[in-house]
Amino acid sequence: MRDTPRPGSGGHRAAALASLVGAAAVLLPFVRLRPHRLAHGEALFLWQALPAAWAWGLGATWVLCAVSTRLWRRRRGLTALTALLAQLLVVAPVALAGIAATRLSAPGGLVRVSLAAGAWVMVLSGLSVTMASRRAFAPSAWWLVLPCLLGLAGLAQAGTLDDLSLVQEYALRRHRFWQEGVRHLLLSGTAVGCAALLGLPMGIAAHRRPALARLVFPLTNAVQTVPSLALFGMLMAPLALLASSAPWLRKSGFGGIGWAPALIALTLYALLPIVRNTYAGLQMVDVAVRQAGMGMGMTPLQLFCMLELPLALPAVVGGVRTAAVQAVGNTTVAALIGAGGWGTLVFQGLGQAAPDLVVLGTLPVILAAMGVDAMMASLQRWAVPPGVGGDYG
Amino acid sequence: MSAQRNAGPWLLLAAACGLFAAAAHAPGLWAWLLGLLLPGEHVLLYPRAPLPVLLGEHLRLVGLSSSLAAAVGIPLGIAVTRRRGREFLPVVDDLAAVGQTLPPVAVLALAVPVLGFGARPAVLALFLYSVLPILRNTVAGLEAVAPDLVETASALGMTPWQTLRQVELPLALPLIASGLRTSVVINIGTATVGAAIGAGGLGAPIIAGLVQHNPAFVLEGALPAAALALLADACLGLAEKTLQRG
Repeated sequence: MRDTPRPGSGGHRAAALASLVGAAAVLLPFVRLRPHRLAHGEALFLWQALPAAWAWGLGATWVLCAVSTRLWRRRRGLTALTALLAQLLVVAPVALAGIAATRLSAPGGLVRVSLAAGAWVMVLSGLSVTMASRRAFAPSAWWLVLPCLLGLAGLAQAGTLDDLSLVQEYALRRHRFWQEGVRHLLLSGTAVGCAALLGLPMGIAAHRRPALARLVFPLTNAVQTVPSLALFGMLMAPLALLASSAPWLRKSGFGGIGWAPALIALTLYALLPIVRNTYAGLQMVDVAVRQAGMGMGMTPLQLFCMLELPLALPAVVGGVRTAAVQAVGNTTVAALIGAGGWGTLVFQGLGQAAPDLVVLGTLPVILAAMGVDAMMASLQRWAVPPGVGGDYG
Repeated sequence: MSAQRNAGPWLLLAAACGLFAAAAHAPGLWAWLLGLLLPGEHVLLYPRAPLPVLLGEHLRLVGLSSSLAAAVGIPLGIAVTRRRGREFLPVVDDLAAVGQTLPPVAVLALAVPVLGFGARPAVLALFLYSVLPILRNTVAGLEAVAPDLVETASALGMTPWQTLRQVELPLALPLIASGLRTSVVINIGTATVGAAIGAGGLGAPIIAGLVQHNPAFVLEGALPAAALALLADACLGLAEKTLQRG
């Protein structure tokens, strides 16, 4: 009744659909031309920004990509070839937009050129086709996207993208961008670290004492339910009061706004996934395994360190993974209480109505969240003790 | 289990919701409370809009986006678990996996370069983000129905449509409801940040208070926002439990 898709063929129709969406995106506005940084400007189609032949070529390559997804069922090599083609189609619109930007803007002028809907849809379609082709290899074959990452890095190095508005926003605050980046990662990393230090013992204690579990879970659940901005805000008044009564605290930057409420709120947020997964991981340990350990004469400490903890470790790492991905996102909001991070650029961009500055702040947050997720996923696979089966994506 | 024994938590929640609504409509109460908490502040209430208006904006943002998400996510989840749509199941899995790593604030922020400022882009961003938990849970709920049951149903002469309506959906309902709950709670939280893109709501006094260093404004937005999220979570959680039992 319920047949699962054959391996290797899964998603070829979805990939074909994504390619056709990419082809149709040639008909959408490709770049946006603005007389200056904050103006709304006008949208240009691909054939208006560049010679019409380029638009035809790009559209034809998309159709070719759609056709080649039909060949997936035959060979894995062909699937890999389509994946490469799709990534060429990720890089090509960005490169074309860069070239269009150079043609449209006079040197030293105020004109800004940014990617419009058509270019973004093509980038996403190309990535979707690559993602779909991944199923012919391994579910975790993230290295398949390396060619397009290298391609984009190469374009940036070569200066092809220098006239794009996004790159210009970056060039204006190169130093600031990395400074906020370090702050962002440091803040979310510290919060997750603190949460792990607190959450691990809490999870273990909840596993040992069911009464404690009934207390801990409703509390951590409630914290996660409260909107992050509200939690940051509610910490403002009490922390300001605390700082005003203790001058030595105030000297280190502790106060109602800044890093202190951010770190506290982010740590509280990160607690739930870690406590929940530690608890669940320990609960999952088979009673028979425990009894076998006891039968071998293991002390309770040995039982815990050599049996229960290693078996629960993948679940614990999974909790840290969820917490870390969430923290990277929530740290963006922390910029509103003056904690710094890439969110500063986002909210500055929103305040100035400068769309490219918003994108400049948002893109690294998304990339960091995905990078952290991929890293923790491989850590999770590594944490599975030998001899234990299990599916940890 | 008798109906009367189930009524207790519902009555308690209804009372809590009533209390919340009454408190939101009593500016005098807020002024008194905030004055008590923050004796140093002179301007206690956010002057741009009264609390009921802000609450209404917030509820509209969340209500619109979450019902849109349910209207799209549930049918889509059903479609990809049918025989003809099954081929797109891996795509949905991928999408859900990517969506889980995507910060909701990022989606909200990216709505501005694409659609501009205001409530409409905010609703669209909230919808796009919150459709994923609903979709994911619908698929998980339908996939968890034992294949034997579906086969038995068709052996009894039920049409695929009858099987879906009378066997599969009722069994999947608790998980679908839990997806809806996740989506609503995330939306209440993200809508708070929506004030930064001009969507109004309870985030407006919080952001204004942070900018003007007025903790009273911050609390006027933060306390109701937190209460709203906790109440919504409790209500939908209780509904979910009732569905599980029934």
